Amino acid sequence: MKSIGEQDKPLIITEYGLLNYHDPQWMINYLLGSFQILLSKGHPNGMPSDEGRWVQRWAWFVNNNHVWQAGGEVQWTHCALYNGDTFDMRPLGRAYARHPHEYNYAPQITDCSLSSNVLLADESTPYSVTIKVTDSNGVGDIRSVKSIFYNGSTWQASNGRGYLAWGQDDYDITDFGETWTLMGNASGDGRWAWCSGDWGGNNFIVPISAFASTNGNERTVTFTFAAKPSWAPSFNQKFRVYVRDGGGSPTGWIEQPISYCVLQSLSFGDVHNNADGTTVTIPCAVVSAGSNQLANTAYVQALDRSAGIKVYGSNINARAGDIVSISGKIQTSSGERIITYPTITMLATGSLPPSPVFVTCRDVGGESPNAFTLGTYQGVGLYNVGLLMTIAGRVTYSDPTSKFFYVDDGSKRGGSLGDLGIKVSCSGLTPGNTIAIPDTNSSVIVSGVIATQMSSGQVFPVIRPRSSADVVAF
Amino acid sequence: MPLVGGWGPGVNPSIETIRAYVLSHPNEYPDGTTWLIGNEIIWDDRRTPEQYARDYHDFYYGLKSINPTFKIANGSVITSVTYNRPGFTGTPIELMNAIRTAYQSIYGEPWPVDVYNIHP
Repeated sequence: MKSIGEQDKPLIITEYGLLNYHDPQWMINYLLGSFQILLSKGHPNGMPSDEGRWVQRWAWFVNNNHVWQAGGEVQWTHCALYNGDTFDMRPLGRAYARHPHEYNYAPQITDCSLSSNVLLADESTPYSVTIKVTDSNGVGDIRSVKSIFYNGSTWQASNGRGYLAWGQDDYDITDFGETWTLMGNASGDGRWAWCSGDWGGNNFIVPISAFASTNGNERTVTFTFAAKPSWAPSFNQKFRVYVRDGGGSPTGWIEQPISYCVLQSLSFGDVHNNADGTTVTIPCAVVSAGSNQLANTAYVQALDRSAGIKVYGSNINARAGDIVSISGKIQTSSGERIITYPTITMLATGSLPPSPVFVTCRDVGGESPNAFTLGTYQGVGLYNVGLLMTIAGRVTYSDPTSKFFYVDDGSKRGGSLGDLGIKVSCSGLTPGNTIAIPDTNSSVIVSGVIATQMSSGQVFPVIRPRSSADVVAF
Repeated sequence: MPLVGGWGPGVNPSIETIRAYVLSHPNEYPDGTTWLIGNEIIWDDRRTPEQYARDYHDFYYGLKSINPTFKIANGSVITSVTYNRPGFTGTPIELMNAIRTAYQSIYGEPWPVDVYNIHP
């Protein structure tokens, strides 16, 4: 145009397409790549009054597959935007139609979460995976959001444990193959489905529901499901997320930095019912106090919070929130059941630490649960040594030198120093981890793991805060 | 984007037929409508550059007489072939130059093209 002195006149392309066959995604990539070239600005030999673009208008060839036949074979069918027989828009047509007039922004997965790092495989407990996606072209450009659970091994269909999908419409879910069971409307908006043909089908999960919502340029999709017993026990499971936009810039299958395990049972209370010296195994527990908080020590508890226990040894390296399996010998130390020098296998990391349960001082410690485990002095109710708890009350005695204090809420539990309440021990912390001892008569809320100390043949419950954040004085 | 004046000399509809239709359907042909004069010229219709220049002239001025705001585009030129047709042999650029030269020779003025049209 420039060389013939017509640079500021429009140049239009009234046909262009693909002569040879390519798979649908390849053609979409080609089409959208050409759009980017055609929309590009600032070319010295482009049209000055159109910001230097080379081409001002263009049209894809062909619109449907009945434009031209020769030799009995339909030509141009492969790159038609429409199916000329059914008038259904083909994947290429959808990409063409949805492409915004300006640059297409790829969707961004901004957050993914799993409601629990441990799934109980009972076919009924609901768990959810939540995916947040933004697209600078607007949420309308986010056409589908899909998630696949798999066993964390090779990324292949046989390792799939369930495949869930949300789409603006059913076609957005089904357009690139697989066999789907369409579940209808998602709560909020859109449609949802689970893949029944591959990636585990419903052999490992029970698809329950999908919820979709928008907030500005962000779309949130939550799939709810339950785990089946056939999935358990499984450890270090993973999931990936895929988002496709209307402009044909899919994210690809992005593995999420979350691992989880699937178990048939969450409890391990029966490990206490073993004599000292017995080798016991806890298949799965969550760390409530880490070795970065308590020296050479961690406390773990069952996922259903039915039992907890101390593990001790110089080899311990676990942080609150870690999901672990433990194997070692159970012993009794200072009246407390502990597992010494255990083998700890990390099953999952990165989940939130468990929340403490609030109890009155009366209920701290509890009664003996079996012949091998001592109950606590004046203890009533369920045995809860080893669990993460919170108490509140007034400081009845304070010893900053020995790093302990007592708290009473009116229960007047007896201890080695009299009816001062429950002892709060702030010693035995990891070096560098310090907790200020509150003054006598101050009011406090204290969280920590329940331990025991022996004095005069009695087992007294003690609460062990993990850090300064666990002691709030006011 | 209407296409007229293609597929061979003496094509229909004529300018008068077009005029009658446009005037009776003004909403379909608003000011600024771009018209294409032929499709894959010389390649498909096997006109000569000279014949195309004559047909283009008739349709260009005919359409402008209907509505002077109409934009007129050449029939698409295939830019990915070497022309080897009865009416012309050469490259796409040479074809454009041949039409331009013919038009100048016949009408004594430059080939008036408002919009250039190609099929890459």
